[in-house]
Amino acid sequence: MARLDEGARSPSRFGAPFVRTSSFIRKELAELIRQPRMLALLVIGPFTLLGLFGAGYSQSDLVLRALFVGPEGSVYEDVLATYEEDMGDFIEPMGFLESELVATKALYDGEVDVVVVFPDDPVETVLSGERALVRVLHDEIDPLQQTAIWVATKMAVAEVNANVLSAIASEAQDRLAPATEIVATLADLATEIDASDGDTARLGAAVEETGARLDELSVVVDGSSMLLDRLDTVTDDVTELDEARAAISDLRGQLPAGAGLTAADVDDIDTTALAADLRTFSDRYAELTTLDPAVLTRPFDSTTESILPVRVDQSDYFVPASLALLLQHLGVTFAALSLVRDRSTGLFELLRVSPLSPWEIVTGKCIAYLLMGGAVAAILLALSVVALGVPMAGAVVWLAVVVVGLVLASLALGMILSMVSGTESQAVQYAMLSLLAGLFFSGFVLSIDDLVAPVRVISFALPVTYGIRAFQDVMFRGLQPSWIDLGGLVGLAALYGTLAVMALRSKLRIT
Amino acid sequence: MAPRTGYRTSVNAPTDHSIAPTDQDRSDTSQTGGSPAVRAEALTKAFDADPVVIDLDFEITDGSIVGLIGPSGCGKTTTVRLLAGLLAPTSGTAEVHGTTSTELSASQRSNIGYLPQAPALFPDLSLLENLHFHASMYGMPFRRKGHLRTLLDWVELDDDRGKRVSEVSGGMKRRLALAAAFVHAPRLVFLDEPTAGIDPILRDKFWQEFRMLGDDGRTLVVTTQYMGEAAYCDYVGLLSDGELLMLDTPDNLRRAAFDGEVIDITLTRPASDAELAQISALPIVVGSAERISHDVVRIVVDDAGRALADLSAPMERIGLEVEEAAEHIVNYDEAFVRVVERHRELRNSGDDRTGTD
Repeated sequence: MARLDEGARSPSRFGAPFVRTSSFIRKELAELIRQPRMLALLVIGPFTLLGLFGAGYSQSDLVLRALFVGPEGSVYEDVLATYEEDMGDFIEPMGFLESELVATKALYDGEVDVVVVFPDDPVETVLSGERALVRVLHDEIDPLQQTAIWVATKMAVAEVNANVLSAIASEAQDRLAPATEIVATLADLATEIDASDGDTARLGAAVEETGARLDELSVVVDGSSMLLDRLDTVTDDVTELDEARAAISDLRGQLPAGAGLTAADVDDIDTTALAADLRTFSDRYAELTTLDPAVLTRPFDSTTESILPVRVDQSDYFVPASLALLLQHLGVTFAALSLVRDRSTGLFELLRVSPLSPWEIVTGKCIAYLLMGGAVAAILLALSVVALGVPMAGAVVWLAVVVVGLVLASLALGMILSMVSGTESQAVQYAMLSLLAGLFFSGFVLSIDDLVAPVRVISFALPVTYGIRAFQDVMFRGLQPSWIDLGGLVGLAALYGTLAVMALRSKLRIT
Repeated sequence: MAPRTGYRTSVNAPTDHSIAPTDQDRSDTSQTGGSPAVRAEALTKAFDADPVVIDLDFEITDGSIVGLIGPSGCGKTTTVRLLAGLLAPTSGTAEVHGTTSTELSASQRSNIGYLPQAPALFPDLSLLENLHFHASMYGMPFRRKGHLRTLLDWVELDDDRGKRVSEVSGGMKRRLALAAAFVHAPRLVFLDEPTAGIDPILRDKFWQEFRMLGDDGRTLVVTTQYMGEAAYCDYVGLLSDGELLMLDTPDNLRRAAFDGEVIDITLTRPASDAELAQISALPIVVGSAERISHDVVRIVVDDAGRALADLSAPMERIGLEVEEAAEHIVNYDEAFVRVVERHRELRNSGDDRTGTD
């Protein structure tokens, strides 16, 4: 019979810790490889979901089907017809009704998303110094959709306001329209004054005509100026109108007051100066009426230009966040389940009598799962970039650094959870809780800035929070991850890792 | 040896089982500073005030095979776990090579093997991979496949080494766990029911190997429910209700069961009660004579050989004719039952006295 210890060699003092640590690396990897279905699920599952999301996501929810309610024959219908095209990004008009009740029923029946109720008599309300209120009814329970409706409504009402203002400005422009003719006439009159040299009668007629035209112009400009003042619109054009009013007043001052000029009155006029001033005025204000009313009411417009090195669409945006969340969930779940399973198989009993230290156990498991998590992350990232066309602007090496930090921190967190889990089902529940926390507090859906300070602590206790920002920095901004995010991952890995070792030591302690 | 608890027993390896220690053994022995391999002193363990192991005192020197025998729930596993450092005693101490067993260093634990009652194996790994895990756990160098194959061959699993644990029978798992306990060639091994569920032929093979390991200076503490396995041990500890009833050699265990050697005498006619009392009073008889069938009387003597030679004359003086007399070889089951029953009788009578008092 061969001796049992034949070929058995004693461990070397320096190599033994490495060999002991390798026990769990080899064991965990072998167990993972023996589960090809799970490995396939780890890669194919998330990739399929990301692909479906990218292919199936549309922003149609942002376009609200709207039913409008207002008095029959009111100006609203005309206004809606005017701005329907402009509102296409937010509102799809579904009709105009007089009855709010009927419109509300349509809302209940799901035929429309919102009902827009215009005030019955907006003019009276506005004249009384108050703003006319447009009510928007909806039955949305999703707070995010409620916010979307609020935003869309505000933008739509702003557009209505702008259209109304445009209409009013157009009216002012109509009243200013004769002024261009008057100004042109004034130029002609200046020529007539110059040409009537010595002809007092001709000069008197020209001066009288000039006075009449100036009076007419004064009325038109004063009215328009007051109207725009009432609209509380402060533009260069308003200033220009005020300047025109002052210039008209100056010109009028050079002419005798009242009708029926005498020869003496005509002689007192400095005709050369008058003609020159009239020409200057007509040159200065010849363009007054050519301004677009839309410019008067909406002087600013905007276009957005991204300074990012790559174009990021809606489905791309969620890929790094989804991968970060997936890696955290994977790390937490595997670590939590692994130690609980080891405990249930009775391995802890052997560990207590073996020379393995808690550090060696935790390190071995972390290395094994890091290799697995790194491989999964590499495959998913490659598929996302190559197959789904997700932009990748930064250096792959930084991506690898983030993956290592994220997986390690998540594994350490999972090991802590395994220490407080009595059974595998409890470990799964804890892992699911960490996933939910990741959804709500990591910035995956809601911005971290919207969280109040004490709750934000949860965000910074989750590896995925740093992972999402770091992934986005690398993939979309082409930057290296911020030191805060890298430090966060390293810090969490160290903190949770130490706590996990302490907890494991406590679990292995003999009682 | 009368069964009693709380007594100190020192177990020394019999010289006929000893072999010259190797250099490695000398080195290990020097590290222990001459301390016994295992020492228990007033060792007691209670769970929720329910005592499971009560006041154990014994020492086991290097190179001994000690069997802890007793029925289910008698405290065998708890005793082994206390000795291996898996449980802290409620009171008393358990030491391994002079160190409290719960405070053993990593290097000291490297020299200890342990087979738990429920084998800790990984179902998704092959038999060989499971052994690799255990070998790595003890820091054994990576070039070890030959050694692992030897172990698998010993437990007759080498042909199945590629199978996953989930695919093999309970007995095969048990054998694999046993191989795992020896994977790092430990100097001291605690085996909790290593032969449970193993067929008799393989069981005999295991005990032969244990015997060789014991002869090689290694110390084995083995629990078993098979009383017959006591014969393989250098020393046997009988446990009942958490108490160590006795710890002695297998031969002495059998003697202790009846306080001597047993002779069954077949008479030509049944003995009367008066005649039975006379037999009990004979000088060669230790204790009382007992009628075990209508014409067979059992007596206990100090030395069966001498008693058989000298039996006829005193019996004739009583008026009884011996048709046949022979030594009754007490089996371990019988010895165990006898010792336990006597212990319980003693305890009950003690309780009765206490109650009377």
